Amino acid sequence: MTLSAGFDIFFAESQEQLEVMETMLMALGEGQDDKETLNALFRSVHTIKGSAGMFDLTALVAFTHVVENVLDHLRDGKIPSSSALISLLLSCKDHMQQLLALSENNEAPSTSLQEQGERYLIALAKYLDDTPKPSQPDFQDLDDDCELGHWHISARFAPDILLDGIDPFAVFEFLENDGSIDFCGVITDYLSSTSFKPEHLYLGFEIRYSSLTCRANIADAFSLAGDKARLTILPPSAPTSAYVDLIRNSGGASETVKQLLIDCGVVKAKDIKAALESPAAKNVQPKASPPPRQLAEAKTSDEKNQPNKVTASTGNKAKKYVRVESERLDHLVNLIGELVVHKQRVDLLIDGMSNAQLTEAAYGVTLVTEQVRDAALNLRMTPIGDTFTRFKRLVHDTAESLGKEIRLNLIGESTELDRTMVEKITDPLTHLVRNAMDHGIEPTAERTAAGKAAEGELTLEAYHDSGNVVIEVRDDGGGINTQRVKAKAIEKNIIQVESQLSEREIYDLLFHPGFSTAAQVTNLSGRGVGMDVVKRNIEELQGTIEIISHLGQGTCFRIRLPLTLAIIDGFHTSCSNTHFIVPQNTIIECLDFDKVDKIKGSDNINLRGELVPYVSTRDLFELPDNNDLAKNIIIVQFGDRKAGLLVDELYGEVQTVVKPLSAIFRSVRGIGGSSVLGSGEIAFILDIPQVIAFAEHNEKLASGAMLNHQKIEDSHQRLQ
Amino acid sequence: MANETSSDPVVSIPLSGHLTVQTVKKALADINQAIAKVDKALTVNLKDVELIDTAGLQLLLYVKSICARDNIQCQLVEASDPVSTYLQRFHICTIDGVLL
Repeated sequence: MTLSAGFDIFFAESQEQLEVMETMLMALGEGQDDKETLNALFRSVHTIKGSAGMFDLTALVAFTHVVENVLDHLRDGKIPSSSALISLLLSCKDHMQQLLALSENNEAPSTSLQEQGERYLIALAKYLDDTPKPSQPDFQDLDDDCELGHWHISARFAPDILLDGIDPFAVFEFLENDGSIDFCGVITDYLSSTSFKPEHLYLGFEIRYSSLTCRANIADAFSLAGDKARLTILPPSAPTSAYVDLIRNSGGASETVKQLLIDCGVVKAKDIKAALESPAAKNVQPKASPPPRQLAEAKTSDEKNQPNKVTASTGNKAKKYVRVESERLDHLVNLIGELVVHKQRVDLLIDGMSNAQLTEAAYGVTLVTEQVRDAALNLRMTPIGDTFTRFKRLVHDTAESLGKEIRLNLIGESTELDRTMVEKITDPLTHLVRNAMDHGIEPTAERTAAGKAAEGELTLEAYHDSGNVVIEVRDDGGGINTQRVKAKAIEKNIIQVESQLSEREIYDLLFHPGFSTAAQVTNLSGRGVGMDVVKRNIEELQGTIEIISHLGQGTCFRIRLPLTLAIIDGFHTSCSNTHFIVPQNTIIECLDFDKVDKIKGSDNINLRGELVPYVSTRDLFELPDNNDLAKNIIIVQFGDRKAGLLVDELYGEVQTVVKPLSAIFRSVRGIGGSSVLGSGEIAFILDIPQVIAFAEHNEKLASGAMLNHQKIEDSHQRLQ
Repeated sequence: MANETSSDPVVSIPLSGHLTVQTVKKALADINQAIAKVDKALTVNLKDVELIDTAGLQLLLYVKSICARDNIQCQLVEASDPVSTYLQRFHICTIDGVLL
């Protein structure tokens, strides 16, 4: 690995550790002050400091060292957790992030940043017994659990570790970089298994290791083995009782372990014998460690309260991950997109050959191509939980600055969404959350007077619905006053006094550029910029946003997004010899237009008792009328809205690689993208939410009820 | 890799080349064949072993343990330099030493 690659990994991992730090601080703020949280918090900072030290990032190491000391005091119960301390530590986390960003760009901290750091250090010093010295520390002396002498490492591994290409002795060699192995006792108690497989590892190791080091460094050396190593690390100062515990927890190999400990000289036979026979030791139930074959399933929960025990898998989830550059993933998806297009071309050629064997073989390739496509797209799926978690901090800070009590609920954090969508949805969500806190949730006094709980509630929820991902931002605030919204729109000359608007249309005014009902402009929102940008950003993702509000009860902003923007299952259709793709997850059914029950005098059909507006694709895109009559109607649905789409021909399902529209098509409403068909022809991918809106709008215009809406549209045009 | 070189009651089996996770399955099969024919003593010659890893070490320990179980005397002899270096590197044991 090159130094540059090492740097990249360091920055990416440090970023993750900073996120862990923030998450743990937020959990601490919510009263979750258990040992696990405090340890995780400490570990995140410790890891950043250790890694930064490897790259000589002195400013970051010096600052982090003091933060770590405070966290150590917190962990040991020497100082209590408080909101002031948590706020300070959150600020320190931000400062570390700034230092990290500067290091990434190879820039030195500015004077103002240094001064800011000094202020934080002075504030941190109040939580420490001694005043910190923000000068460059000696890296060798940083770890407070650093000890010189004979460490003892008891190592067990999962049986399949050798098959993963990891040799425990390679790990031991790595250990020798910082010390020397004086003794390595091999435990062979599980070797006589009748089901012995030579490629599986059944051996355990008791190692005497001489070094000036700390427990974390030793555990780091074993990180190569990931979650397949189970370690007990005893420092040079460990009392005999720690070795007694080790023996007692060794299950069926306890006699061998005892003998090896005596052989390597860490304990004396008589001391061990006395300790094992003491009344206190006899009362302790031994916790048998799993034999190697069970190690893969062994739980580590029993290690949480054992300070001398470290698991190499600490910080790792049960799942294993491989870090891959996002560009490589995008490249793979693009290539698979090309594969899909070429596959369709091959299918077309095969269709004309009438060769049954070739058709069957091609079908097999189609199935595999679809699986490869789905697998590749799955690689880009990421849970929205990481994004949601960031809002804990935002809500904490915003509530503090607004002087409101607000509780954040997160629901559906495991809901997955395309990575590119997750990145682009963060800003709109941030604005909606701030807006809900600033304008939605009332001040405490106002809530109490209205008989509501003093603490406001803000909910972020994500879930899947009909092939889409829905994200809701809900508050239990005062709701939207439609009369005020309308009055403001009239005042700003966005609508006319006589305008008759539905509730939904009034809510849509909030997304108008320059619209704001906030009586006071705050530093959070209320400048009238943002909501229009929110809507535009969401529409760029082929999504929609709607508002549901109840006066006095609260407001819900519901965002609906497609799962992915890369490759979709589409339905190929055409009108006036122009090809269109309808996203398949929006299609309810296709009907023969001649046979549907049409409502006279309006563009509606009676679909089994339900009135559904429809629009002609030819009219929608002003396509040439070649005397063809639209023969089919496709019923589409997005959210709870339905519409019919009149087309000439139906060709069937097709895998569709979404290509961005060229600049000249971007202003055409109703088209969300383009795609290349197997024949080499271009097809337009329909933007179904816009098509439905057009059908609804068209239907209202036809019935003469939408004149005011037109005025809104006209005024939009004027303002733009 | 391995050839049977003698018959009952003493069998000698030489191991050669790599004694690693990739080859231990084959080596074990060879050793098992030899053990099936031995009455009293098995000698495993390591003179031509060029490379050994944890799986190889484990195999040797396994052979010793099953021989002990079946009352067969097992000797690992003439460790090559790679084998000696590997074992001594971490003070594990020495061929024909007490621990192994």
